Amino acid sequence: MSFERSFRVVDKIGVTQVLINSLSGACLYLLIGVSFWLIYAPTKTFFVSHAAAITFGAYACYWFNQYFGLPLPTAVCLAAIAVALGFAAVENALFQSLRGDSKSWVGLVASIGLYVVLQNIISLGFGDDTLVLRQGTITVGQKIGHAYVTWVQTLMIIVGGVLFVSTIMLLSTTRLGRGIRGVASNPDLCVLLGLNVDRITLWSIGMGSALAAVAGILSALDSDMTPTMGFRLLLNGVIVMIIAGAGSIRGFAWAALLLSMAQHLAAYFLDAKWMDTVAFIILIGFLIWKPLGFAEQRLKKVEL
Amino acid sequence: MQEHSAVHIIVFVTAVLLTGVTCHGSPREDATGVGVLLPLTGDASSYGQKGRRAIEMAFDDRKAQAAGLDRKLTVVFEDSKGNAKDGVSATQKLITVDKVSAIVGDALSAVTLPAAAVAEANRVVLISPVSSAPGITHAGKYIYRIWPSDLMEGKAAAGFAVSKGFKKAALLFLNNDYGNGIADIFATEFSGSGRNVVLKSAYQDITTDWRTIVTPLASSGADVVYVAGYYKDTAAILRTARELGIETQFIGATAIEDENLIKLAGTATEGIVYPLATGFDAASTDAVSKAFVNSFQKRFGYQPGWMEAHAYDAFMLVCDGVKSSKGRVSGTRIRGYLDHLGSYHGVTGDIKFDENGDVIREVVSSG
Repeated sequence: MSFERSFRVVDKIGVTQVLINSLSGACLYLLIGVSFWLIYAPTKTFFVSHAAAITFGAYACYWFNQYFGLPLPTAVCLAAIAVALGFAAVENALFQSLRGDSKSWVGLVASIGLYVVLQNIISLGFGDDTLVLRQGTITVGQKIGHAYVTWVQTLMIIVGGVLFVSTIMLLSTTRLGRGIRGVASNPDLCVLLGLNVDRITLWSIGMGSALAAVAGILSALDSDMTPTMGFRLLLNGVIVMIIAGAGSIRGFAWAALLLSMAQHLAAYFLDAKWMDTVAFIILIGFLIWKPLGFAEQRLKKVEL
Repeated sequence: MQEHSAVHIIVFVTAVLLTGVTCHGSPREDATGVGVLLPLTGDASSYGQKGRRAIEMAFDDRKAQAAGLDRKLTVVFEDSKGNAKDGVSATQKLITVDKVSAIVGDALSAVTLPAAAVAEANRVVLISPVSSAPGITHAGKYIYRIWPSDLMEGKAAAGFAVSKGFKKAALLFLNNDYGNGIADIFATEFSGSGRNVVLKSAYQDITTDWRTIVTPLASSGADVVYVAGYYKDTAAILRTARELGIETQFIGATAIEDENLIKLAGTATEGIVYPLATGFDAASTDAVSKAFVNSFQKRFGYQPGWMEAHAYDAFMLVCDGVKSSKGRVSGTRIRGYLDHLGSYHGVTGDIKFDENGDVIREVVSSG
């Protein structure tokens, strides 16, 4: 169907808008990609239930904001803390109980089960209808050049950027951060060196879940929320993590920008239904030609 | 030995004959069960739950008039989850396990079409309350619907755009049977005499990035935008268009007639026009509609919309079909009733079927 019409002409209005949209989209993907890495790296388990952390963040924020009348910033902080505590407890318990099982797919299947349960809990509690977290009336965005930017987009860029930089700082300068990287690289060696691997894993899952909650809230503020919102966002976050190459957290920024820009350009010049296809083409392309991602190097491992 | 063989043969033949009877003799002829197939969970569950409430009320209303009902009526609800696969399994279950002779459902055309094929093959009547895909018109002799085909609605929307003198239309449509079908009709009806479609873009309802879909509108040069979707996605598109400073005339589909549209998109809904394919009007002064609205509001605490009204009428029609069946109730007998139905005055207005089982109804514009 989309081939019926010719390719769109490049024009200033559209391209500026697409670039701004790509940037705010990239910041959201970046946040989710990093949040997933924080959980994947120390556990080496593909926690699909992380999608529920994104959804729970948005719904918890909605709950604090609408039912208790708390102002939005307070509700965001409380939601992030609640999701961090809840998911650290649940996912860590799942991870610890499966630890003896060397097959990684067991963890994957168990986490899919956990995701289904959690998503249904949200459906039961809040219903399947779209809920609105947005505050106030809908207004025309701020005009920048030929394009419009909404305050939520600005918030996405600022919050996404700040949280990403803070996470890098934390990972490279603090004791906990170095611990997380150590466990990600070689948990056995960390045990030998006397690090408390379990405690580090717990912290890492908690931090990842909190970041996911914030990403969910930003997405809900931008485009409302449904109980199934987390899964698609997680999918993009995971693609970002894979094309970034799990070795380098800095590669995440490039990966998020590449993915978001490719999706937005495809939607603009071809059709919106090509967004997912483009994401998977990029993923497959990377898996074939650059399997180690942007980082292009494996972490050095000390084998025992 | 020979006697044994004879006994074996008799037992075998009887068994085969009995099996034949079970397979082809339609034991459901005795049944008075009515099946209801709706998306009770999943993304389309808001429609399913509304329909369910209305049918529960219709069932109780029917029981209250038990004197007029000469047999025991049962209703079996099945969840289609809004997808074709689960819809077909649920339909098969209703027919083979619950042995219903008529089914009310589904709300979504994408589910109604495959479910209709199963119902038709088993000679079970299926009345869809709100499915609008043009394909349902020729889905079979046992298939009816009380919502006009998209053909009517697409024509009405295009007719409005033409009458207002718009020259360049942009089409945003949901990438499913419903959206694709209605967008194609609009495009065909609108194009010609200096008018053309300048942008045609499909979207997925599960997307979270609406800005991408709406952005091309700004530079498309369209003076009218037709959105063929449901209220959730239309609300998201209207909201995003407002944020992006797009002030073009929007035309929607009847499916957006929902109080939640304003909850989701607020003031961004101002100015949108849409054809109204339903004959239901909550503010109607008609005695039947008024009684329905009042008792529904009393029971469920909110004003019913088109989904509730159409589900109510579809169920009531089936009940009348069951009641009118002399002797054993069967799909064929209910079909006979519906085919010879002169006109039924329901809460959605007068219902008459054409030779394809489509309701005959005029589509009007609403704003």
